[in-house]
Amino acid sequence: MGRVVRGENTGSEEARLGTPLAPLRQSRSFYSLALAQLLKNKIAVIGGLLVAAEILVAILAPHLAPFDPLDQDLKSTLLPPLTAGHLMGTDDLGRDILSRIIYGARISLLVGVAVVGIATVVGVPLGAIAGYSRRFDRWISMAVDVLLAFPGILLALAIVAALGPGLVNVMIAVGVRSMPMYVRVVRGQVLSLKEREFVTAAEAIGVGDGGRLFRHILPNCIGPIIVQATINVGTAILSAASLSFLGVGVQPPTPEWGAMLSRSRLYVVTAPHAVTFPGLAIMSVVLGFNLLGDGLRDALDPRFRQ
Amino acid sequence: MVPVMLGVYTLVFLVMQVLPGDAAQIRAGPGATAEAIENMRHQMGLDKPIPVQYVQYLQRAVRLDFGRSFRTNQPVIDELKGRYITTLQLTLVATAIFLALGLPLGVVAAVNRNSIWDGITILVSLIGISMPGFWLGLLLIWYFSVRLGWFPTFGFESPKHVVLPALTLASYGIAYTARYTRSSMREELMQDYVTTARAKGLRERAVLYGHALRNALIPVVTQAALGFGYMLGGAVVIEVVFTVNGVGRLIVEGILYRDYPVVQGGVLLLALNFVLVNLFADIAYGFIDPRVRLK
Repeated sequence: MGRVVRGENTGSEEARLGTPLAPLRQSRSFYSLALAQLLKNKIAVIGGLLVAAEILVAILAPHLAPFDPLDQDLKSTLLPPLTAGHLMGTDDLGRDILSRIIYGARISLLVGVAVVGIATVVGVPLGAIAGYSRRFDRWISMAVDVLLAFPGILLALAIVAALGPGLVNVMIAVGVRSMPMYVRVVRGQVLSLKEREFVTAAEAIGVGDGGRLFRHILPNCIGPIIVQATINVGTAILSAASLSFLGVGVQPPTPEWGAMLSRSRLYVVTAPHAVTFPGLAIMSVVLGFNLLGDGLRDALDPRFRQ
Repeated sequence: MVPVMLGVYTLVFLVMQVLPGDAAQIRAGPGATAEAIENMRHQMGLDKPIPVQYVQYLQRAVRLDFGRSFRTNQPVIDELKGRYITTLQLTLVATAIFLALGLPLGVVAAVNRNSIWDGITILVSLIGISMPGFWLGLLLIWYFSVRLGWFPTFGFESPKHVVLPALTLASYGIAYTARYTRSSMREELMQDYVTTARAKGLRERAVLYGHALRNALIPVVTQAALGFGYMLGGAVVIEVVFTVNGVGRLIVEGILYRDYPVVQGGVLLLALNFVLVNLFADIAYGFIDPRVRLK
C-alpha cells in the first residue's frame, strides 16, 4: 500500500517530530476512511443492502426457492399471487414465478460479474497504455470512439446477431459494449497522474516505463475503476435483460428476468403479475448497484469527504 | 468524424463476416440446388476475396446502398426509409418530453436545495435510471391502454399512438437530464458571479434565470444531444414493446429471420445518425460557450 500516494505512511514524520502524532486518525488507511465515509451515507447503505440481498439470494437459491424453477404445471397456469402456495403466482406454463425470480438472481449476477470481468481485463490495460503513451493513444482512442458510435444497445445487438443467442455470447456482447468506458476512465486518470511528482521520483530512481505505469500509476486509479465497475454491473444486467427480452439473449426455459418479461408480455391483459415481478427484480438490483456506485464515488473521492 | 465512420463501417463488415450460416444459401432459399447456391454466391460477389468484398462494400455502403433484403428482395434502403421516419418521429417526441420534464425538475431541485422537490427529483432520477424501459412500457400498456383504455396498445398511426412509446423512451432521459441539470445548476449557484449579482441587488429571478441558468445549461445542451442520439438505440427495445414499425424493430426481426443485409443497413444507419448528432452537439457547444470558441 506504500505506493498508493493517498495512503502515505506517517512513520518517518513521527520520528522526525519526536512526539507521537494523534494515533488513531493518522494510522487509518485510505480505504478504511473510505469505508467509514461510505457507511455514513444512508443511500449508499441501502444500495449495499440491495446488492447484498441479491448475492445472498443467488447463493442460497436452492434453499430459498419453494418450487423447481423449471417445473411446469399445466393445470395451474397464470395463477394470481398468493394462491396455492405461489407467493407471486404462476406463469403461462404453471411455473412458480417467485422460484424463477430467485434462480434468475444467479443469472443476472453471473452476467454482471462476467461483463465487468471482460471489460476490466481488456479496458484497464488499454486505457493505461493510451493515457501513458502518445503513440498508442491515437489508435486506442479512435477504436474507443468507433465502439461508442453505436447508440445504446445497438453494438451488443450486432455482436449477438453474429455470435448467436445464449448466455456466454450475451456476456461477450455486453462486455465489449461496456469496455470503452473503462478505457476512458483509466486513460483520463493516467493522463493526470503521470505528471505527478511521485512518478517523476520513480523515474529518477530508475524505474522503467512499465514499472512506473503498472506499479506506481495504476494502483492509484483503483478508486475510479471500482466506481465504474460497480455501476457497470447494474447497466450490464439491464442490457443483458434487454437482449433476452428481444429474444436474442438468454433463451428459454432458463429463468432469466428479461426472458420472463418477454414471454409474459403476451399475457399482460390477463396476468399483469407475471409482468410486474420480474421487472421489479431487475429494477431493485440495478438500483442497488447504482446507489452503491454513487456512494463509492463520493467515499473514494477525498474532495467529498467531510 | 470520417475516420470514426470508416471504423464503424469496418467493424460492421467484420461482424457480418462471422455471421452464422451461408448468406448465399439463405438468399437462395431452402431446397436450392448446389448450382443455384453457387450462382447466388457469384451474383452477390461472395466468391471474391475478402479485401475485394470489403472495398465493394465500402463503395456501396457510403452511397447508402446496403444490398437487398433476403426476405422481401427489396433494396434495404427502401425498407429503411419509412421505418427511419417513424423512429425519428418517436425519438424527437421523446426528446421534447425529456427536455420539458427533466430540465424544470432539475432546476427546481437545485434552486430549492434539500426541499421536498429536491427529494422528488433525486427519487425520480434514481428510479428512471434503474428501470428497464421495456418493463415501464408494459406497465403503461397494462394501466393506460388495457385498464383505462386511453391509448391504443400497439401501432403508430395517430398522435395517440405516440404518447406511451415516446414517454417510455423518454423515461431514462428525464431521469438523466433532471440529475444532470440539478448538479450543473447547483454548481453555478455556488459561483462568485451569483454572489455578485445578488450583492448588487438583482431580483432573485434575474439571478437564477438570467445568470445562473444560462451557464448551467451549457453542459446540458451536449447531454441533450447525446440523449437524442442514445435514444435512437434505445428505441430498438421500445419499438418491440409497442409494436412500432421503426428501424429498431426491423433490425431485431432481421436478426431473428437471419435477414443480414437489413441488420447491417439498420445498424449502420443508426450509427451514422448518432455520429452526426454528436458532431452537431460539438459545433453547437462552440456557439453557446465562448470559452470553447476561443480555442
